[in-house]
Amino acid sequence: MRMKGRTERAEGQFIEIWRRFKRNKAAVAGLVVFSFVVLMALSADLFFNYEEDVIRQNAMERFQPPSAEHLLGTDQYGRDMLARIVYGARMSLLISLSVTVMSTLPGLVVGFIAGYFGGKLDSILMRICDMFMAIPALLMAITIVAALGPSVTNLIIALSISGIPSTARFTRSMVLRLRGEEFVESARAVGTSDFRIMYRHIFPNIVSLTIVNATLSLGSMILASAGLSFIGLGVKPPAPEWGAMLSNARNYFTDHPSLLLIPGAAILITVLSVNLLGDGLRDALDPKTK
Amino acid sequence: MLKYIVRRLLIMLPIILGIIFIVFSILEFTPGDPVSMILGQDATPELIKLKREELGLNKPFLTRYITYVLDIVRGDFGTMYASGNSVGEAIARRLPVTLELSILSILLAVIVGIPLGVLSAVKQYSIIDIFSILFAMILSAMPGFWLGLMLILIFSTKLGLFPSFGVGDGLISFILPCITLSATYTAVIVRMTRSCMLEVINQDYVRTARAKGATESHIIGKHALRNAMLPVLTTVGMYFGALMGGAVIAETVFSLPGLGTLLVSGITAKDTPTVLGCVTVIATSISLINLSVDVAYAYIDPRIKAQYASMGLVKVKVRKRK
Repeated sequence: MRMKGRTERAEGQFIEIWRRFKRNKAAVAGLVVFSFVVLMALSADLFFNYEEDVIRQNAMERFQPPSAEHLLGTDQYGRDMLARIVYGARMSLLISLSVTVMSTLPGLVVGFIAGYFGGKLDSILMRICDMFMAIPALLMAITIVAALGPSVTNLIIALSISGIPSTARFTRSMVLRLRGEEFVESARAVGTSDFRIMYRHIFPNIVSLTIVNATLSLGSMILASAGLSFIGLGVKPPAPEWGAMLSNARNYFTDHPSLLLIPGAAILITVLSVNLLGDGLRDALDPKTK
Repeated sequence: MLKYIVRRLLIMLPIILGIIFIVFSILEFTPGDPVSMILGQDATPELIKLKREELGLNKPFLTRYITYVLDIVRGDFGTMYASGNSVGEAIARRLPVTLELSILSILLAVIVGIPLGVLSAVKQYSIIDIFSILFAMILSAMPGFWLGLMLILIFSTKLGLFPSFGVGDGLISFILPCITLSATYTAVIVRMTRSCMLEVINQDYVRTARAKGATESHIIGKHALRNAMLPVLTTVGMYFGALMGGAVIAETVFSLPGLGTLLVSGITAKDTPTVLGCVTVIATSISLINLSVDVAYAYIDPRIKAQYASMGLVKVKVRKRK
């Protein structure tokens, strides 16, 4: 019976959040567009052949304008732009989602330890965070990629590490606030273990804000990974990635502006939709912050 | 006040040492042996051993770290592996370009962002408000380098108004890079100013001022803006670091001879001393700038000054009312 009550309450909460979210037209638009990008990335194989359309160069078909065969035209190597954009979405989402997960989880652990146990451990962890945060995230990521060598995996590692300190700080501040609350005190009074208090009592209270934060950082991670690929520290050609496509277009875009416009618009639209979605989620989950 | 600044400088020291330590440790993982990069493939084992000793590479990690820090204190950032040029000289030559770019960009972001944010808050839900929210939204979702390339396409290639690369034409050559770099921060400042102003406008003291019959411009300028500025200033200071990181990309787009391009070329050439030097100098400048922002607060907000005064760090002059 107890379990049933809990799920019912959770469902009610979910419906309430969805109701608030739905009222925000911009956020719904963001959700629709972002779902479309995700769907596009997932179904890329249905429409295009990776080797044939994305990688293989075709000197006869360079710089073709949009046509029935190539809906967005072709690039400087005669490759289909639409196919590269679609596979580029897969790359961008793969990188930014992995980075978001890989920086949020360790950040949560560090933030929990620092915020819950406090004391010396807290000050040491926070001073380390301070040092990491004194180096701008992008610069940090550049340095790590420089040390490990440019590749997709290293790009993900670099961006994740540079994102951990801010998540840790954010989590810590929330844990610190909740630690003094009465429900935590009473849980401790009845002899609940530290781990259980963190997991059952504090975590459910911060999970929604953590998700909002992760959504909001998703957009900036898409931008950062595109930026790093642009300066040659991320995805290596011929693999399709929006930032790398823009970098390759640098020598040709004055005569063929579409090589510049299309990947840029893809980034802009995706990031815009993620940001709108994140803002909407934040307002829906916590009406006070509006 | 001086005491406070000195204290802050002292706190900064371990942080900078920590930064150098982090960067130093990360760069330990760089694959490839610098000695074979300097001497080429066909160096004899004796020569390699001699060179290793000369560079101090045979010493343990901590010893090398301490030596490096001591060298920096003396102003010696080491030499580049490939060319043998001094890293310190290259940095000194290029730092002004990066600083000029960053400071001009922050100024541009503030000059555009704050008035837009204030207008947007004062005329909430008007056309101006909707426009500036949209403007901020699009700017923050746009990759800086893309904006840069678009600006080159429109203003250099098509219209021929501004140079597309280098700093040969003085201030004019900084216009496009500054717009590129400031875009994201303009968006942040617009949003921040708008929300802070909205919060302040609804406060009691603003209502009191209005009730007293103060003019609207006096209310906004004197009562609201001053109080809304503090969080905005914090944001400006906080984002300065990110801005200097973004400068790396803006410099690459416009081929500016700044620290960013030096850093990227150092990475491509696997030149560890260059990378180390650049990151250290950039991180240190950021810490210094954050310090100046903190000091600036104390001047804007008497409450903070009073806080320091209670700690015995500054003297507060009590103005007597006539």
